[in-house]
Amino acid sequence: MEFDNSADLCIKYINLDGISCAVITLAGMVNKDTVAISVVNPIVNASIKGEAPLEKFNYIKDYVITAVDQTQVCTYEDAFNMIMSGFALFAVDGCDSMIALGVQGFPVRAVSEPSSELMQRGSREGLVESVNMNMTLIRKRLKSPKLKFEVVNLGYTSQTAVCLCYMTNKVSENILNKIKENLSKVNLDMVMEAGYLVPYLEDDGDFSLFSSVGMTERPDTICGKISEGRVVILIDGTPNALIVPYLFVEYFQHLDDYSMHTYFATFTRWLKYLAFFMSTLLPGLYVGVSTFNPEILPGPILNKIALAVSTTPFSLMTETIFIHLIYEIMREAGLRIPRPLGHAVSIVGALVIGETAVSSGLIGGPTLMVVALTAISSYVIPNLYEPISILKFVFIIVGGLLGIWGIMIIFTAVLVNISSKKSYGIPFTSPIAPFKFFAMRDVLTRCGWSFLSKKNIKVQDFPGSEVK
Amino acid sequence: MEKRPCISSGQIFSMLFISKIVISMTYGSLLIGDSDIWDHLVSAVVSFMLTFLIIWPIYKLFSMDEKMNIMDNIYDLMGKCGMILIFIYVVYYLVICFHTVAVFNNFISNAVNPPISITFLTFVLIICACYGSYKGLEALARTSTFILISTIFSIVILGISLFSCVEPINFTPLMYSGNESVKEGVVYMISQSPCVLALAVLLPMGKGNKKTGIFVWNFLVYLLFAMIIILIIGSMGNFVYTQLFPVYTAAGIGKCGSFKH
Repeated sequence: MEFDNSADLCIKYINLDGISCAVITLAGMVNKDTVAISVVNPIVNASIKGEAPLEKFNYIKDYVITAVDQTQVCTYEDAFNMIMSGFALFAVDGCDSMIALGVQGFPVRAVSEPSSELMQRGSREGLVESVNMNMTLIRKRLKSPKLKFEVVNLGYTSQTAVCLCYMTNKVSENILNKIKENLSKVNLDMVMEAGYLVPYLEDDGDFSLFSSVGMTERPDTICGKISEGRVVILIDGTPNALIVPYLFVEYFQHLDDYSMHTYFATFTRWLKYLAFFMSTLLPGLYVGVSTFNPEILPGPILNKIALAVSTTPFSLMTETIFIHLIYEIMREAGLRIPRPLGHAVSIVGALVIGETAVSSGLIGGPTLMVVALTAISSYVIPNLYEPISILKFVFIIVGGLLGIWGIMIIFTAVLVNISSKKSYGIPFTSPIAPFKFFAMRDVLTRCGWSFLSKKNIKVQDFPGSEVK
Repeated sequence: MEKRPCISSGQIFSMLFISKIVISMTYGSLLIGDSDIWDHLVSAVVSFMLTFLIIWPIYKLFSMDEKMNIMDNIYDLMGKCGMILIFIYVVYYLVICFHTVAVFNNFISNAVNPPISITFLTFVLIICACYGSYKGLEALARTSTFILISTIFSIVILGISLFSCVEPINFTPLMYSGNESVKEGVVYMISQSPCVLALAVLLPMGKGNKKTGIFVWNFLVYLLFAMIIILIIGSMGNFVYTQLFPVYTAAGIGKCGSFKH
């Protein structure tokens, strides 16, 4: 009755010596062959002992059904949850419980390399939409009995399975309990994506452009984070996993760093820091310096900029904002456009912005160069793209109105905002501030494994941490 | 009212050191009053020792009860009558804030292209400072770590770039024209030290060795003063006496190999 004769509801009735039984499934969710081989055929072909319905039920449960994953459910809520998770339900008329059998067969995307987190030397496996598959990908990499998975259902309507993964000997009980408490406050109807849970996992009243909840699609990254005492949250239906707590320095750390030579890994780490500052501050500094303090620029560069500014109709600030907006529109279009039309967008972008706008005198070459450098730099740290996108506009406006000094003041305000943030009692800027020299082995440099392996620091042991 | 330590001693003294560096960037003879800057090298040594004398009663008061700052001690010892002294403290800090903003305005209007709206810039600065206060001491302490790193890096770059411009002929004998300049320098350096009184409020907030922190902080502050004096006198000579902000001017003439300006 609850399903209201939904077209995908399948009920197979079986008569056992006058007692009516049923195998209930949802079409497309189960593997029909497994249902037939492990459930229906054994029941039909077996000689069921027992007279009363309950006796028959227990006999079938213990001796007849060959499905490995069996759970007894006693409430309609659990039963509905199971059947909509791809389980088959076996019910006997006269019994107040059912057996849920793990015979899932719904279509699952094959494990492939995540497109947003490419690695040169690492695994090519990424998370998929099935939380069970993701648990398997993690378990096969972390062969420790201390690895634990806890599943909760979130979303009043969607009842999405959300799985907490952690190491029982590494995680802080305070952090774990706080995460569970935060998840219990999720009051959403539908949980369709990992991002839905991020606001609930961050500290109350914490307004910041930077998130203290990390995201990844890689099981190897998840294993690394879990082994440091963090909790990873898998969400059914999305290949993105959430990592808490997550600190600012982790945005600049990548699993590839640990498979490269120390000197090159340190070099790329510093490239990322430089890219972050370039992508955030370069447009604003370009506008501020060129408008208010051109004497800072070397002569040849100043001449080029002055020539460009004198031949374009807009002010430098307007020009820079305009080009950045055009770029953001193109980027968004590139994400949403059907693939066959992607080439057309590239051509239009290259011709319109790269060639025509400059040659027609609408924008200057130096401005275009700055925008291009900013765009490329922002993709070095893709997880920071959102705050970088907003901050660069802020600094352009501030630079155009108040010059370098305004940029410095607003940059300090951003710094205060980042420094005041905490992630489950751990300062977001740790271990830079509060400073811990030993932790710089994996922040300012990427020291060799002989040094990194000396002491495995858990996240709750970072300087300034209020949790143990 | 007990204060729970929430930051380290290192962070307290980092914040105070940055406060001092920022003010010392506006150091110049015209603001002091036509003083002979070279003699301020002696002033730095004298101020270094005088600062310990000023800090000593503050530290003694703190060591009587390490959980209470000076405001708490005043209220504890004098009751409601102590509110007058607390009020004076508050007014003093407000005056210092106004003075700092005034120096900043002076610096901006003289060193920067005037088309910037100085009033608006000052307003933004005050809003930013209030925002920092709202976020709390821990946020300010962590922010100061970042600012300290970048400031030290900048000072090192400035020092390296100016070192090649230093001419020994610019150095005259110390106290050549008497000790008037030394006294003026001491008065200036001590008057630009409101952070000493900030210690009276901040000491209970920090955990760690405060004696070492006080010594190292005081030493580094006056070492910085001495370095600034040596570099600007050595690189600019008598030209320094025509500049309102000689440190800013010196940054413009420094060079390092083929890197200039």
